[in-house]
Amino acid sequence: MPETRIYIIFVLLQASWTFGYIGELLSPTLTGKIVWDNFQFIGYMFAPVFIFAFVIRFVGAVDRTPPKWWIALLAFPILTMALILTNSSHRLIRESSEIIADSPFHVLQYAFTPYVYLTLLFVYGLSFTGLGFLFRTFMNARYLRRQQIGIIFTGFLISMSSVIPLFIGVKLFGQRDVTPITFGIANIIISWGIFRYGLFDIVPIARDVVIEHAEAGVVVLDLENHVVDINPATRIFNPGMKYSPGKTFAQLFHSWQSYLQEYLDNKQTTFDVTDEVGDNKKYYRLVFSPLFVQRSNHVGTLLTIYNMTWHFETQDIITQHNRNLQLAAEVSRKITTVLDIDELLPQIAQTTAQVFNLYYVAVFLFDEASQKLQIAAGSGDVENIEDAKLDLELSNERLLVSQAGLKREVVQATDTLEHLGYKNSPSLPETRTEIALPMIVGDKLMGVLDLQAVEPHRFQENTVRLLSNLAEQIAIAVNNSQTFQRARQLQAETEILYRIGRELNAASTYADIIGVIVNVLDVNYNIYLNLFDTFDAGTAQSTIDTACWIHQKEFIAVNVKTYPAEFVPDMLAGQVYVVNTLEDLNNDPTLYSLLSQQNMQSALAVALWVKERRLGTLYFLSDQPYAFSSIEKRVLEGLADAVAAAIERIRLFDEQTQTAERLREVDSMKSQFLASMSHELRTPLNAILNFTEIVALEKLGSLTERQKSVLQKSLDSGKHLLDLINDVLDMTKIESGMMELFVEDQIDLYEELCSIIPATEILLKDKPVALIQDIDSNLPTILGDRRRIRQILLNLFSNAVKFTDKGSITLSVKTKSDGSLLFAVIDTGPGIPLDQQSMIFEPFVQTETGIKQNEGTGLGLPISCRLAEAHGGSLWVESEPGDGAAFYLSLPIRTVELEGMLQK
Amino acid sequence: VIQEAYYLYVEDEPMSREVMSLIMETIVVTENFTIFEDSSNFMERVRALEIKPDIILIDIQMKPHDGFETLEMIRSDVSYNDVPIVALTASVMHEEVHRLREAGFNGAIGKPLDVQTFPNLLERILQGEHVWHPS
Repeated sequence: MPETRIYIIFVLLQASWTFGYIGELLSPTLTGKIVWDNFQFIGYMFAPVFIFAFVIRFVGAVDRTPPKWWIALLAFPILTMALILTNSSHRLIRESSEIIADSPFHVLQYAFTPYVYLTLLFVYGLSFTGLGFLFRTFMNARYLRRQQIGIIFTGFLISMSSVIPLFIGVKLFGQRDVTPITFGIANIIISWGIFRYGLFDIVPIARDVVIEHAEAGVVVLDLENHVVDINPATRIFNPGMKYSPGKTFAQLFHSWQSYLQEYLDNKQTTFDVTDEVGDNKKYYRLVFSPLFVQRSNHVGTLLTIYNMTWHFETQDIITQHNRNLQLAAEVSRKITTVLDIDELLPQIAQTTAQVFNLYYVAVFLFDEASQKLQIAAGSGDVENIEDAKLDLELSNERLLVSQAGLKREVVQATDTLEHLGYKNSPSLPETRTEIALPMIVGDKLMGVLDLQAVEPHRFQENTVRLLSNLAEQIAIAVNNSQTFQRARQLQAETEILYRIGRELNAASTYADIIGVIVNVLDVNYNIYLNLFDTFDAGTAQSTIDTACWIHQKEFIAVNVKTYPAEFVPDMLAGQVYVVNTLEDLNNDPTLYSLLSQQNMQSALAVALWVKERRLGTLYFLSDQPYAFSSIEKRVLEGLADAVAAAIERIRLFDEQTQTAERLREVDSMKSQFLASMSHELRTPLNAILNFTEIVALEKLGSLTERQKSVLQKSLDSGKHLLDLINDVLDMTKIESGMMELFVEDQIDLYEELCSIIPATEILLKDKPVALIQDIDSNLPTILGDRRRIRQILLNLFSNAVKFTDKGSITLSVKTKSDGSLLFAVIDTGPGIPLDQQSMIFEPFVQTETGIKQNEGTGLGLPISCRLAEAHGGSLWVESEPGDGAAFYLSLPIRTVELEGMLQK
Repeated sequence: VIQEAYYLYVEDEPMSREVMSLIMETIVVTENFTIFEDSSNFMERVRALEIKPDIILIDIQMKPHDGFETLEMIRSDVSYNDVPIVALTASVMHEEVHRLREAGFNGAIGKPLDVQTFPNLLERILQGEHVWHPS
């Protein structure tokens, strides 16, 4: 408590002065008096310095008086003390001295030297200056403080009053100096004040301990809200503020006045206050507390000001961080739910721009093929950006976005005005901060996230970290989305190819193929299909066989034959060949002329291959440039395969159709030939047979036996020839599959047998062969070709007759339990060796015995066998050589197949 | 009966005409028949006949109208559509017989004619029977 110490020193100095003066008065000798006088100079010279120091401190002006001032102020009293002690040698203080003995107490009397007047000026000047300070403070102070100052001021005024007579030359008590006395009185008054008002107890000590050194600002207000006291810390809150006790709170703390008004109920009240000066945001906590003296005497208000800026900044950072985390969470959530990249990226751009309050946010995606960063989404007015065709070359090192992509690290222009070589985009003139963050998944660069703000130094380190995480998450999302898109695209492609394949299967002409492509792909291109007649892979020479083309879904020409090969150049470069603009074709004049003639701008050619064979080329032409730049080559290759397969199939089908047509023609010719031969052969034969028979019957006159015999042989040979012709025709019909049954229902077998048996008997003539009948008595009527069944049975009988010279021929007809009829013709002829039994059913084969007989055509059994099979039955033989043969014919009574053939 | 009936035979092949002529004279023993050498102006010539034929025998393969066309011409004339019309065919093609039946012939007799059964077939036809007797 410096004030207290200073005041005590001051009091001690004054006391020493008074003590010295008493000593001087009591001392009997001149020398003694001079010693005491010298002793008085200590109090006289130093007390004013200390009282001034006390006042300065008491009014709070201490920090305006640097320490060297005090050294300067002390220098003069020290010099004076040195001069006094050496006065005898220089007489600067006292030239001569005498004792004035006008009272019981003798006073040392000496004339004032100029130096003594200098000390008077110093002592009283300093004292009155201090008094002035006190007075000013007193005038501004109120209540307790005023009373305190009043006491001190009064004390000093009394001290100083002694000098008044000195200056006006009135000597009240002779030559005696009253100053030491008045100082004593002043000491008494101030000491009373110390006890009465606690001068050092309340304000100064509190100030020292709490206020002066407090970090918090402290302002003491009186009841009228004048500032009574203020501590140095308060300046921190209001640097321009001057310590001006007595000013009102409103004058010093204008912006906080409203809080004071709210506090009026005089209960301790706390306010949290924000002060914004430019970018600087300060947070304060104001605590107003009522001040009481002796517990109940309300004398003023204590305002404590806490600087909460750090606290709130921390809170702000936390809030910001939370918000950022929320954004990250939101992005994550979207990433997991939104798989459509076209939907996701604009959302990310918008959200990021909003949450961070940014000027512009753009997402660039990296296209590996072109090594370009293509803008995929942007916040705000994106249209301008897109107009600018923002495809950035990855290698363009002047651009932050490209740099970030190339270096795969965050690149930032913290202040674009100071960033070397930075050029604002014309669409974004206000950008002051730009940060480009690479979006990377594993080793793969997915793209770049670009953020722009209008304020310089916008992104702090922790924000950059968070944005990096964000970019990483977007990269993952983009990667997922692209994977998903690819899968979906692949599925769509597969579906398209499946549809094309399926619909192409139904295509039967080349025009159909083009129609399918147009329908399935739903394209509006001109489509050409050139099919090669010949193609030489070595020279790439081809001859166009067929060219079809479609224009705006409407066929213009199909099957243009003899298309000049050189008119449509061949593209051997690969399966798919794309022409984006006519400029691409500067060194391909043929194709250039083809396209320009039709006002086409871009083209796509797909080679059509089947295995190693080049079938032709499928062209798509568009009147727009770059129409095929993004088309999926995979789809086209699949399409080409399907089209090639369809073309091949159509060609094979055409060939087959032609072959079948030729075969039909040949067949028809054959049938025609057969019918014609039948007619042509039989017509003369008819004449021969009929004429011969009429003559043989002696209708034209009687004949000799020899004539009749010859005519009969002629007739037999003629009939044999007719049989041969009939059998050959039958066999040919069977072989060519043209045999048709003439199916009738309810064939009465008895009736048929009745006509067959007499014929057989005629054949037997006078051979010693018995004809035995073993026929069931109630045979069913059957379904079949009456004439053919009769033909089979006659054939069997005629064979039996032919080969049987003696013994018997048995005809057996039985109904079988399985719903069939079994005919058996059993003879007692030579029989058939086992190895020949299967041969006899083959056409144009006769057994040795048969050949020897020199009769028959050798076709009877094969024809009978086929006819039996055509009826759904069968014909077989059982024979032992030398023991006759048994031919069996099994016929179903009726079958569904025969019913189907039943004639109306 | 068969000697009293009147027959019309249409045949463009001379040898067949001669055979039929001989059969009519020697086997059927009748002179009541007319033979057309072709089918041109057929109905005019039929109407020009003094006697309405009781049976018309038609060769199938002939010119200018084949047997089917000739049948159609007769059938479309109400005065003659009740006359039995029999196809005489050298064709043994079975489907041919089927076609004849479908076309509405009253019968078919195959060539060469079986002189032994021919008179009997004529008799049956005259009695209204349908006769299918390809050789």
